[in-house]
Amino acid sequence: MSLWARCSSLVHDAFSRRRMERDMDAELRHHLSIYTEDLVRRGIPREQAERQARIEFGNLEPLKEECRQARGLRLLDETTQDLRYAVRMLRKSPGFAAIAVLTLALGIGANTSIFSVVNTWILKPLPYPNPDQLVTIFEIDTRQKLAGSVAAADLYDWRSDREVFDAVSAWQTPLFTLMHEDQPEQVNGARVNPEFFRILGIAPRIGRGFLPEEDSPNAAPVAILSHEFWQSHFGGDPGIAGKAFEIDGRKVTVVGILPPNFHLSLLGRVNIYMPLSLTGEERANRRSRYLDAIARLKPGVSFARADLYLKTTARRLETAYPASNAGRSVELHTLRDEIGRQGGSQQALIVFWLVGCVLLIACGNVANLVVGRAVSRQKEMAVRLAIGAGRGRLLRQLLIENLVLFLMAGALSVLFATWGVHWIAQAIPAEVHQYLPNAGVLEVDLNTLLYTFGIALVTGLAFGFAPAFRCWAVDVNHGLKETTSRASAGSGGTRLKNCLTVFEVALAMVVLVTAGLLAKGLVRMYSNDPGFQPDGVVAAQISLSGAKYQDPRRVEAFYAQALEQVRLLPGVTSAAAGVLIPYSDTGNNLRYAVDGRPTPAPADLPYVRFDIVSPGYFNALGIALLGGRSFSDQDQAGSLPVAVINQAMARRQWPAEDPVGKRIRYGAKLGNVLTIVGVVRDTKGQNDTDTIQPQAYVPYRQLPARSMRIVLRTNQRSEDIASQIRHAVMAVDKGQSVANVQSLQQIMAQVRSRHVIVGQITIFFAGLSLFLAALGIYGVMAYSVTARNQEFGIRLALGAARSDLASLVVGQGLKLAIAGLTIGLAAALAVTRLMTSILYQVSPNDAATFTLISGLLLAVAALACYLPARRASNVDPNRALRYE
Amino acid sequence: MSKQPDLLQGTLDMLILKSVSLEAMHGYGILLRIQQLSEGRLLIQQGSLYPALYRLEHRGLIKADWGESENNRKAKYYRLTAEGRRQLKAETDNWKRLSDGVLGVLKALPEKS
Repeated sequence: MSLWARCSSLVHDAFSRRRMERDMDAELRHHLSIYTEDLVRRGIPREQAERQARIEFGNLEPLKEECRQARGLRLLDETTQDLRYAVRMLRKSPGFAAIAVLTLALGIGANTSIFSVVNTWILKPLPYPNPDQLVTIFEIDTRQKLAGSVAAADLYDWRSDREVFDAVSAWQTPLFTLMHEDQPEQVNGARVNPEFFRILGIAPRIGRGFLPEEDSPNAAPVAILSHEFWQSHFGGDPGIAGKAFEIDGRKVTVVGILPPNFHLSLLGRVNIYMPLSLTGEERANRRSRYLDAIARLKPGVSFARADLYLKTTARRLETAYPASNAGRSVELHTLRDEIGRQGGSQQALIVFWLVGCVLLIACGNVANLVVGRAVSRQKEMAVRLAIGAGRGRLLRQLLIENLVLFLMAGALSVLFATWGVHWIAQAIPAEVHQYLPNAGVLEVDLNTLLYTFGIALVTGLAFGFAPAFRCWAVDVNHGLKETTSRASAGSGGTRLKNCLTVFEVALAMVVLVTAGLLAKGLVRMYSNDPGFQPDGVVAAQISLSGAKYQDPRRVEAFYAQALEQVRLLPGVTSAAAGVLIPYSDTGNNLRYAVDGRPTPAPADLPYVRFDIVSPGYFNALGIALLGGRSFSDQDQAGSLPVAVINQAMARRQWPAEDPVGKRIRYGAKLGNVLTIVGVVRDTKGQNDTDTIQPQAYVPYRQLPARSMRIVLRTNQRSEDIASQIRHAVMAVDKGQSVANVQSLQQIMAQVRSRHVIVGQITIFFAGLSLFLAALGIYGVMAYSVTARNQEFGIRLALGAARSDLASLVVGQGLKLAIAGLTIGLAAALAVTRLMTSILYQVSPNDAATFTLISGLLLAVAALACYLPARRASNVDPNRALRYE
Repeated sequence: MSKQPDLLQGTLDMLILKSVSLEAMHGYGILLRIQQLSEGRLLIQQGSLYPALYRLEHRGLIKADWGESENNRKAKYYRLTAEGRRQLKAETDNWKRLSDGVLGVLKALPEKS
């Protein structure tokens, strides 16, 4: 209360300063006059009374000052004075001010732009009510450490078990074919349980959510649309609820429209939601794991308890259903972690620490400059102390000077930060945005600005303190006697500057090594052979819908005809289809056994990535056939079921034999047999980082799949050929369309974008920190050469060679660099281990990188010493000695 | 002129609070009131009153408003705030305890041996 009174009175006075002074004046004058009158009344002549009153009252000015101080205004006055003085001092040395502000603004701006990523994607709470209760559920293979989707029967167990979950929903993201204005259009969709929206705390803006009875294959199909899709495709028709449209060949009634900007990055951008609608048979399936699960914990149930409960349940299921559940367990992730993991929060955090280093280097540089100035102002300080300035006041003034510097830098850094954020936003491919938190949108918001000025303030104080403290400790006697040049050669300043330089070099080393490792990884990523030839290949996604494609023969016929059609397109040299194409699909892992060997226990059966392709697929993608044969149109229903395997599978099962002619078994009770007819090269799977898994390809005529990707080798660009492909497909079935027409190069760029962006940012900052560290070394050496001018003169006069002086300077600079380098090496070794997740095929203590970076840093340090060294060797002994 | 007893640190604040607790008054009035109530035993240096007033106002113990004074001039009138009333009570209690204690010590008679 009292503190509040004081503050409000201070603020009030500060803002109505003039009035306060006027009031004070009037009040004191009133006192004097009324006292004078009293005296006159007592019989003292007016003139004498006035005099007496004045004398008794005392001197007015000190009194007023005392009054001001009583109201806490003195601190304010002095601070304003200090601020004015600080600005004047900075204006007097514009070079210093410009370099310092620019350096800091770069450092702070870099920090702010990365912080805005961290803020928008990691720090901001998820836009769902009580987000801490939201979890995703995974089933894991405990022996082979694979985490993945869940089986329907397990999911329905959790749904009916109310011990820890408030609600559980599955989700899948199929493509739906919508007939819109008589044109088929493939739309990103999702199939979910009715509880999905309740779990996320979202209520449709128009209409209603799904009813429990609608989650059944027998119910009349219903759909909920995203707000954006409703706007773009139905013109925001307010009466849309209840209208029916043709989706996947069925009449589907729209029952609701979601609120605008509803987005769950795990699903990407979904425009049509439909109920999961599993059949009773599908619900009882514990074998195929193809559903993803999200759940809300019951209020008061902790994450740890839920995780433990699920693991216990999983152990019970293992004994109850050994055939399907042996070796299976369950893992919970908080929704926040899962979104962060998929969105790249780890990368963002690592980069965030790195830019923290860059900022510290910048601060080190500025502190160095400030120390230099402080030392040369030692005399000024001594004089001010001598004429009665308080030491505390001097300290405060120096800190304020520093703060002005840092706050100016903070203001300028907002500009750099805006550029930085813009750069990052445009560097992320558009297709990737939808899988990022906040739909990939980055904002420089109030939090970010607070952060910017917060770090400007904190670093300004922290790095202003050391130099200011040195001035504080000035010995008046000493300081006044010394001439400026001698005073500046004082050892204290030099030691502090040396420490700062070593610190900068060490930090630069950490950033440089990280950048070096990332760069090496990127080079590797791009020079690695992916196992196929992506140049000139365009892929298009097809998802056949409608009742007629329940018949596998119709599916087979459709793809056969569609491929024939697209082969006729101009510029297309080959075309094929496959379920999984490299860099796109997670894939479907099946357990298998080698025919003719003892069958392991169900939980020990190995997995194979199962792909269904058309003849000519290997040819179209440029995957080399290493042995046996590839598929032909003769591999069809009724003929011998065949498979082509990749090298990883051949190595695993037949390291010393020819796999061609061998047989594997898969499926229920492993009753399906495949004969291996060929071996092809390994190709990358879903991305660059995952290890290549054993893979088996089977011909699509023997096992038709409704969802496939058409791949074609062409000299046309994907944007140009997209509509031609669409027409070719519609010529076969006018109810079908294609989606995601992209070149493999584009797809690979999207998958790699995270690595590339992190690499680019880090390399940029590494360059910046190298430059700043070099500047630091240059600064400290140049300063030392100036300070030792006289000493060099004496050395020369006594017969030292000029080259000796140069090597003296370079030696001194390199000593600092090597000290920093050593510390930096140790720090880098400790730190890079934490970055394995963002390194690609590079060991975190890769010797070549460490050596190269050390060499680079030393070379740059030597270069930074060169100019001061040349100046040292050009000292004129005559002038240097006479100078004093 | 007999030597005037020095005011203890903080005593002036208490006297001011007491004076303005009776009615709102301007600085000179407070001075007169203290002299009158102490029957001339406490003389306050004219100037030293104002820093004390400003300090008390800054702490929110008194509040000032402009009003007309007896000679038809504008004067600043101080009055006690609720916070000031609490403070005055606390200080008065304190003072009583202190002066009772001091008096007790001073009144002690030599013990008979």
